[in-house]
Amino acid sequence: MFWDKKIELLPREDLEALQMAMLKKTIRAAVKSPFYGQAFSENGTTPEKVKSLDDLRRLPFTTKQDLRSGFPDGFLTVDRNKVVRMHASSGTTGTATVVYHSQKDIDRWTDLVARCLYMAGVRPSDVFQNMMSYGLFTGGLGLHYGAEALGAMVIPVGIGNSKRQIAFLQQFETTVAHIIPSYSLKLLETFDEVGIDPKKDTGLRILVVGAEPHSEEVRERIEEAYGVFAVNSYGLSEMNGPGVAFECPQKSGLHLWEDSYVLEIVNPETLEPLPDGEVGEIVLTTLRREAMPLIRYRTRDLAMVHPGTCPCGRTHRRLSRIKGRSDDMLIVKGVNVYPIQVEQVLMAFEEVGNNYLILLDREGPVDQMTVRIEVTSALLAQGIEGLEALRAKIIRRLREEILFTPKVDLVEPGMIPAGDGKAVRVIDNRQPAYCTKLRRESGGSAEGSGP
Amino acid sequence: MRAKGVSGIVARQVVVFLENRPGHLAHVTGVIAQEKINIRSVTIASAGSFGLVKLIVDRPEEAHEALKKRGLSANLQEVLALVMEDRTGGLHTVLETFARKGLNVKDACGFVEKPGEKAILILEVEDLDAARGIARDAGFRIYEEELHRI
Repeated sequence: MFWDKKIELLPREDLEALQMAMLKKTIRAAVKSPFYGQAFSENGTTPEKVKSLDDLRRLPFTTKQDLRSGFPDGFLTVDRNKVVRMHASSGTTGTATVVYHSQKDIDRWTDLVARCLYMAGVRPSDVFQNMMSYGLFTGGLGLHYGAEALGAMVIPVGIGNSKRQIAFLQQFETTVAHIIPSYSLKLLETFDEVGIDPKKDTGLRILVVGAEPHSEEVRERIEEAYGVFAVNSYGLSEMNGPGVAFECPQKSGLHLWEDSYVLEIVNPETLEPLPDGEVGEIVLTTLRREAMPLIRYRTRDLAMVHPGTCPCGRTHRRLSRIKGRSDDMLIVKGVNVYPIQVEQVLMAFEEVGNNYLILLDREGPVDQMTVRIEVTSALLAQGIEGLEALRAKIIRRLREEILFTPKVDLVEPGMIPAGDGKAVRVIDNRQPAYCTKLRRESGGSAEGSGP
Repeated sequence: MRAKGVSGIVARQVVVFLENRPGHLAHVTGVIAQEKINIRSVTIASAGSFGLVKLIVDRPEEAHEALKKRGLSANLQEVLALVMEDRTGGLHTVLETFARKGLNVKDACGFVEKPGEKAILILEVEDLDAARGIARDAGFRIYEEELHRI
């Protein structure tokens, strides 16, 4: 049942005492980094002043922008020689963000992922097919190491090549796979094509679905089609990647490992703390990271903590599904896209007016991004060939920028809803209405996150 | 045949961008009807999800204004309008002349003014001035004034 029984079942009181002890250590270590050294002195904080978990609230937040400004070594607290690995965010806009890991960090991260997998029901006898991209992306290597540490046999197949994926699933009798939810749905088309029923003709029993926010409806579809437990995984590269929070078989939220992270939910506008049960921005503090501790990191992910205790007995609080993001990063087909990237491409074309709209839909199981561009009167002079050529050029440039091919629709003026005040640039039809509302209220315009 | 000068008036067609969806073209014709403007000819260059509607009307400037006022993307484009006899081979004579001079015709449309007598040919060409020159030299009638005043 448990990978680390003592820790997983630790009474709240003891868990909080453990957090406090680790927090003090973390702050003492963090202050050695150029960024926190300066941030704390400006804030008037010394490690001694943090005596309770409530005192943590007096510390400044750390943002993605801070990580960018601190690029590459501003957050490092150990000698570079102690660093054994780095991971970086996609960094398609501006500077990438980098996270360094010491050997201890990798070991602890690996252990957390193993704990997650074990909780979900993965055992050493399992064959684990890792259908995620390897490399700078933390999802691939993170789960690879965790599954290996647990004792499963790992197939590091990576993403794509659907027919080979299916062949491996059968040939190696894969029982657990790690996969992007949208890809798991797309893969069903290939299953259909080759006449194999994933439910009957494979030994799959668990799918770890991460890296992409997805709805309960999608989970149900995946579970139904594959005949598996589709377990939701939450993580972000700044917090290692996967292994931050994971579902237990109760499927009533993701246990966030509070021996390794301090979890706060704050109102993204006022930054005031929110009680359990209320949706706000997830703020995390690392407790067991050596090379690059992060304090009060604003994840931009919106979620809530499920009140009450979990029937599984674990004391670590449960995070809801990610409801959206408080900033505007979009995840489309598993790729991070910022609306500003699209804007930059469009605005580089003199012929394109100011009005555009990014529409996100799910066409069947697959994300589809459509960019609507208003055709101005001036554009008509180029004739129909001119418009077609322009459209093709825009698609090509967008593809270069965002790494997948969007649809580009030329539309009549007025077909794009003009916002009063701040223009609506993104309409995401992939999320339940509740999330759209939430995003509007929070002033953001976009989507969730994953490892 | 006598050549006719341009005398400050040039033939214009109204070009409107439309999404290829039911009702959009009707919206345009509705606007024009409301302005009591007469449509002499309509052609559509389509590219799948969108198209360009090209209209020859009796009052192009007013049509253009009316469409723009309603938020449509519309443009006025100078074209070459020629008067021809409505008879076998009439169009061919004109096009052959242009072909000989190496003039490329991008788009064309025509309509009959008086059956058996007079037809109007509208030509979109790359070099309008050159086209006018060729037309004049060949003795074709450039028929702008009449076109818009009818």
